Amino acid sequence: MTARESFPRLLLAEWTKLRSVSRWVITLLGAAALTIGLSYLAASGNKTNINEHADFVSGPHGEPVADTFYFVHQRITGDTTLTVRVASLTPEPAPRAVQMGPDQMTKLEDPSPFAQPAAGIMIKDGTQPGSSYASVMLTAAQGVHMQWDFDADRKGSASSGARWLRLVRSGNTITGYESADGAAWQKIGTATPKNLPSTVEIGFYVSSPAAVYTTRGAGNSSTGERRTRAEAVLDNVHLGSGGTWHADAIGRVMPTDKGEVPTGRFTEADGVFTVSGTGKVGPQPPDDDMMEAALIGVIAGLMALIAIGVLYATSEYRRGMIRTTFAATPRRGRVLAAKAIVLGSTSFLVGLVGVVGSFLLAIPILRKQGFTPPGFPRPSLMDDSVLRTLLLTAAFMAGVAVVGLAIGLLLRHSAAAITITIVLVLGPLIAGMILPGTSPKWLMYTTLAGGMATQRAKPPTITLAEPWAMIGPWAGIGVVAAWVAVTLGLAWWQLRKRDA
Amino acid sequence: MMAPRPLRAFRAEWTKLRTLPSTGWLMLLAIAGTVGLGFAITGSLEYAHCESPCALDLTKLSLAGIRLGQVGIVVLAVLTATAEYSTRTIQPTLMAVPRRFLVVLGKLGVLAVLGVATGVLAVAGSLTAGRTMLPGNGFTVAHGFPALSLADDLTRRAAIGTVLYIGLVALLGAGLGLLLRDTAGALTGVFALLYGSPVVAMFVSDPRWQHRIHRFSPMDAGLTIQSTRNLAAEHIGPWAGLGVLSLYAAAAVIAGLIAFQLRDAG
Repeated sequence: MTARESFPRLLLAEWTKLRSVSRWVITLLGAAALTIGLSYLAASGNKTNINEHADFVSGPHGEPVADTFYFVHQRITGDTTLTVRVASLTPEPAPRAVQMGPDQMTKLEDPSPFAQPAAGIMIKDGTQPGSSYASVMLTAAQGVHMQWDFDADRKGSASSGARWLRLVRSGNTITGYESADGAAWQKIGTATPKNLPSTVEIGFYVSSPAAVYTTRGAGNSSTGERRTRAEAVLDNVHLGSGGTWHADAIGRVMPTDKGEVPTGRFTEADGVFTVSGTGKVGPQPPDDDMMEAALIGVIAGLMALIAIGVLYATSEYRRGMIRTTFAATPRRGRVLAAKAIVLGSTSFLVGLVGVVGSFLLAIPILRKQGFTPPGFPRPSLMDDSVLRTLLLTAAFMAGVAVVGLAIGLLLRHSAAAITITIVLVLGPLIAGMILPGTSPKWLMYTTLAGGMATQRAKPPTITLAEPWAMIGPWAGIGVVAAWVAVTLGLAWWQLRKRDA
Repeated sequence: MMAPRPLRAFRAEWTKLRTLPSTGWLMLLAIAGTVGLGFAITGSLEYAHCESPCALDLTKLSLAGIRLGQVGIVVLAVLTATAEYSTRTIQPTLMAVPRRFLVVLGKLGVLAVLGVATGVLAVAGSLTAGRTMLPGNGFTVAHGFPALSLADDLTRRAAIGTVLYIGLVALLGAGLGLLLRDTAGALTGVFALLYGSPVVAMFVSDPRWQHRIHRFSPMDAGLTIQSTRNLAAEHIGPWAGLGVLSLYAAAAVIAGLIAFQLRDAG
């Protein structure tokens, strides 16, 4: 018989071993049931009232946004063109660490182009926070950008010095340009904001997002903000029709601890405008993750899958069956591959049933407890982030089961292998909860616990207590894949070297 | 003259466990894990980095290593109950001591003794490490931190409580082992029970639910006894917390005992 024919047979043989132990089949079904059951029960432990916050603003698509800035504007009807030269932009430096109450807090760097101090020009559907807009701006550190409706961003040149900016409205489209000298113009992008009535507010603005400071550790996390202000000098302002400029602080600015509300100001002298402002214009999703809250049960299903993975390896040694196995297939690497494939794909399917079931049962409960639009858009199985979360989490569960198999083969001892695998997953989570600051990040990048990051649909953040939120889902599954590769490699090496 | 029956059963179980090389290693693992993690924690604390008013609970932090060290005792306890099934020595055991209740009593007695002995050594090692390390890191009397001492009522309570905690965890593991007769299942169950609930509490954002989970999870509730400061912030009282763990241990032991009485020795 050729090798090509025998591998499917080997797979079939290993599958038969797995499915004919009734206790294992029950445990596999139990893993899915535990995942779904715990997710369902624990979903009622999550509650949010974000949609009732006074400063909550929703954007033109209904999503949560920040819309605070200092706007010098006038009302214009129909097609128009605004040109401005940003002569300088001076952001206020924010210290890297501050003392807030009893906590020493570190600054959270946000690289998003929506979170940079900026001065620019804007066309907006009125002065109501959250209304449609398109803007071209010079940022303090990321060059020129064109943005609209709180989620679209086009990068222009990387220049940091004085820059000419232009917005042209023609019907429903707005085109953004930039120039070094006001003569040669480069197009940045074309926007079609969702709501653009014929009469809009047009003008120039300055924004400067609050510096976010965080501290975490000992099972808690806290976040604080300190407002920053930027100042810009603008000249060469050209608007098709000349009118009077009105200045308004858009959005609600929370007062400082001293009770002042420094929203911004502007002065004009011979066509040179000096404008200062504070705030942020961009997406502002809550940190809490609805997907994560819906998949709490994964940790329980994982325990059962670890037990199956280890036993699938060690039971061969306990009953001496491994000698029969190797007599039938002398090439040990192939046996290992077959075992890993059978266990991995079975656990993946079990995990998938578990997470999809959890999703279907837990999401309706979460929606009853405040996880509703606009703060939390209704997740659908067809969303990219939802699909990614479900598939990667099932892959994480399968990966951990295969690591259990490999450790079982290495140690040939059920108790030791189960204990080590469980501690590899849970130990870093407990330690990460207690360790302060961003130090648990490295635990997440190096241990199986990092796989927990697959359960998050939102970008990584250090503002939450759970340590796995610090790394992204792909990094998490990468760590698990590395563990699978290394432990399987070691197991293969040992199998070849050692007697059965 | 023959010793009374319970004593003989105890002595038989003692001989079994004593002659297994794994017993010593697991106890050593438990002690080394507890003292090692405690040493790592107390060694990394600096008074200079603690914001004033510094309110660190040094006793609790010194003894925190038990969260890792208990792994050794759990494995020892589960194996004590289940190993006789995989090696089939359970049949000669029951022939020698037909009264099953005595067999279980013997096993639990030996485990309790070993668990408490391990606990005493682990706690003594952790407190000594804390006592040695902490003054050098700025936690001195002048700063309001007297050296850890058993003369202090709260520290003594934490030390005794931690020893009792380890004994109860051993009983919980043995009970679940007897009930399931399966090493893998019992180990998974005990670890999920101990470590699973704090992880679930991290997922949960509603403070009322977090409170409930911490109150009724065996590890968090049981280790509340280690607190010596700001007891009002804890989710459960120190002895009540140990009581919660006792309930888990008692339930596991009783269920294990009933199963052991009713079932055939497989």
